Amino acid sequence: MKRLLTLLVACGGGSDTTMPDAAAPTGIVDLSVPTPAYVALAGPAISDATAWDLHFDGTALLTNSGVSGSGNASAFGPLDPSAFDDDVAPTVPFTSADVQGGAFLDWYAYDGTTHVLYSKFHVHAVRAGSVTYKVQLLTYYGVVDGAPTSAMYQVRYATLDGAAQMITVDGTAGGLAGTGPSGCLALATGAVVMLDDPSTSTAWDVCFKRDAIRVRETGADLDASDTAELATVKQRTADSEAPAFAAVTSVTQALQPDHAVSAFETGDWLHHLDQAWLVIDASGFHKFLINFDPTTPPPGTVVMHMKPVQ
Amino acid sequence: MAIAAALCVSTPAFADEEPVGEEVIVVTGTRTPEHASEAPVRVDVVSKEEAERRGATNVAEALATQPGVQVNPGAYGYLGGISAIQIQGFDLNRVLILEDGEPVIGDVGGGIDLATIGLADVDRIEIVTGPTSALYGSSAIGGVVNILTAPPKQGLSLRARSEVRSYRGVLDEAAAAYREGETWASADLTFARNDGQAATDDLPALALPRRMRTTLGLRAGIDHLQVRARWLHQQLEGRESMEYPGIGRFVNDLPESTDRYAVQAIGTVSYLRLAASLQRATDDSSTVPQGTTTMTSPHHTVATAPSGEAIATVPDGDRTWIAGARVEAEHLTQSFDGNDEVVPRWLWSAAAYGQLEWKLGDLRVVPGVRVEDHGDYGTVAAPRLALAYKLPAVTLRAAVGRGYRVPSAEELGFNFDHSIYGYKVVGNPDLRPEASWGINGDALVQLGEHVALRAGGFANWVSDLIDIDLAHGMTSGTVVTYTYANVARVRTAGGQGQLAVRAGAVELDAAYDYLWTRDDATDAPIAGMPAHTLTAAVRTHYLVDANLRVRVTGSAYVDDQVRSPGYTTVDARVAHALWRDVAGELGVTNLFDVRQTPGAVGDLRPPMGRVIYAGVTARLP
Repeated sequence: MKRLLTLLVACGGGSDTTMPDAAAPTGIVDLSVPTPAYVALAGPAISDATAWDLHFDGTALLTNSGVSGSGNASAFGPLDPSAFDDDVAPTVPFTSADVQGGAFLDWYAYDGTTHVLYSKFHVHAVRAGSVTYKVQLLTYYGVVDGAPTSAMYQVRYATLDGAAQMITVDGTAGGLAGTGPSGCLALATGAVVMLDDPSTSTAWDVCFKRDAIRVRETGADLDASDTAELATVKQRTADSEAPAFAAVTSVTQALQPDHAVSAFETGDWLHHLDQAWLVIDASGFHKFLINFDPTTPPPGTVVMHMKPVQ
Repeated sequence: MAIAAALCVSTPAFADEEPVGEEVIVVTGTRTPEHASEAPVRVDVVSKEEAERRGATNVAEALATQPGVQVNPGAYGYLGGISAIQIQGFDLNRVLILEDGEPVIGDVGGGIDLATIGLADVDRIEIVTGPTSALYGSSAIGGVVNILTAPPKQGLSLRARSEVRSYRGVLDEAAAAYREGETWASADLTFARNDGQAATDDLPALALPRRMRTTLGLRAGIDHLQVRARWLHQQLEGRESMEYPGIGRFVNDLPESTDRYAVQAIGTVSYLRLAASLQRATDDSSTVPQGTTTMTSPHHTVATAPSGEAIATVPDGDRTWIAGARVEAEHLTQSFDGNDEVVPRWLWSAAAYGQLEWKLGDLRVVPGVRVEDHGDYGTVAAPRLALAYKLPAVTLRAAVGRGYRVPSAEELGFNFDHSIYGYKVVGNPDLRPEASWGINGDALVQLGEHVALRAGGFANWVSDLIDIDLAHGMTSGTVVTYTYANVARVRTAGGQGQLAVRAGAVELDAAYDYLWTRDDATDAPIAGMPAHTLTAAVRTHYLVDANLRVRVTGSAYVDDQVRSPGYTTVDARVAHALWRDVAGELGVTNLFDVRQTPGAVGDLRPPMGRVIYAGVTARLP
């Protein structure tokens, strides 16, 4: 049972079409770019915000989960285009709920055999008032009372033309369940404060918890195009990546505030429209495969195919 | 059928005391005492003497080379990893472990570490393969292993066994019993230890921990009442070595302490057998980085399980009726770092079961059904029909039945928070019981006085198999969260051929097992299940009691890229009377020192290398 949905997204300007009857027999629906659209995968094709699985908002494609919604939706992709032809959900290592983040979403590589996180040593830009800083995470681990301890972030940071500073930020206070205060770093002073609710304070620029890093203003991953495999990442060290840190003296990328990030953003969906994506609906139980047809004119319009799978 | 019985019963060590193929009484197949070769449900038996002949110091080692059974020590790859039994392609959570008919409680996940169960007061181990939930309830999908004791002989009897083994291994057992008529008492004490096994040559990490186990057993009987108490204390001292990016390598000690207590009372009144049992198990483990006194990751588990059961066995001419009722409860707590890792809860169930064993000439028909009501899942019903047809030299058996397994407390309410390693596993309160249908067939043929053959086959269909849904973790930040789900439908099938030859003082047993498995969700075999296994044993008791046992295990599917390599183990042992009732023994297990490749994922080869042992056993009388 395949269903077809035509979407206009703001990747090419788009047109200002009006929303037709959602129950059209063909199942083809045009969405207006300025109007966020909520899609229920099991039908009806478009619903309001009370019962939805996917949410199209400009170039953002979100799932009803995490910071985006109260549902249990999640997604994984991109997958090989041929996966869409199967009636059984492909085996994937995980599906992702939406999280709040941005500049630091892709800072580590995970070794599933030893359950160890390895920093990719990306250089991140973080805006603090009128100053742009560069930040590089060296490791997730520190030593406390002689014992290895996770979420003890070791951070290298500097202004774009300044000397590198090193600091360890305690992100363990977030606790195993992710609650509790964050270790928050003010880049101008190097001060670290523990904040239960960082949103109530302006005395920080980057906050660290056990499972998340957030920026107060804006930021960017300057090495977001890095596709190195785990084995390559594991070879990187603080010393070997110091020159890359020092080499960053200007930032041309746009800095963005933290926002809801889904698997579609981390999977760069707009550049993988023809590939398959696995989506779990808001109930958390039903699986769907979707893909997008990038050939449909005019620019800015895509057609989404979707079908339930076992 | 003496030689045919040899295919059911692994024969005793001292053949002059107990003739080859002597009929052993078994109870596990139908809950009715019957001769092994005539029981309508096939029951394989490993006697205590046979276990010793295999160089075993515990139940796991006693079953390690049993045809139709796989035991993988440390199968799950973590230090102190439990000895995992597999029958008919099902792992330890789907094989029910009983002690004198009472389910043994294990850790919160339900798995039983057979290496913690010693042999001092064991009379025999009975194995029934295939779904047996009609009699025993949950977890009896792959089969049932029943570890049985027996009342002592009349008068005073004493027994002492002492062994030294490789890896500074020690086994000391002492048992004393006195019986006068139907009044008797016995006590046994066991101490066993062995050093750990290095994981690699260049690191201090251990593939198996140093283990010390002490067991004290007390049993007594007066007329129709028997009571039994057992205490087990086990100390494991593991060690791991971890490389952390940016801060270097750390070596952690992993101490773990386990205590198990079991008290059981069994009374018989006419046709009625009443049993009450109370078990309690505690486990404490932690991580201590070497060079520090910092204890991290403290783990504390407590399981308590009371139960009561009444069974009526009523002979009625050619018919024997069995009706039983059982209530049981299990309370589990597990904490990690001071926080509940499993939601503390009582799991309870009440069951009623019935069985008819009907002799119709040479045919025996054994229908039965168990209905069990669980506090969390409602009612489960498991029927079974067993048939046996006996001719002078041929016995045919067949059975079809249903098995089931209810979710464990771990699967329901786990909160296994390894965020520090980047993942969590959480329970799923919406799980359904696993359910299976299985068929078993078996033909036993006696060829003359000295040769017996057996051929059998089985097939199982399991739905709603519960597993961690690794394919659908949920990632949030740096942490991936997995949960349990009724994710899988699996099928297993296989066959077995066995040969037993008894010629004077020489005995030969050989068995070939074939196993086919399929996970219908992935259309791949079930990981870690070897398809081909060949077991051969030669024994002679001319001058000395000499045994040679060879086990050839084929390669096993691990995943699409990895297969666990096949391997061969050779065990040998000689025993001889030294003086009066004192016998000496010298043996070796895993003669060619086959071992896992350090660090290899899914390698099913033994983590323990070659073990040479020598010991003496004294018996009175």
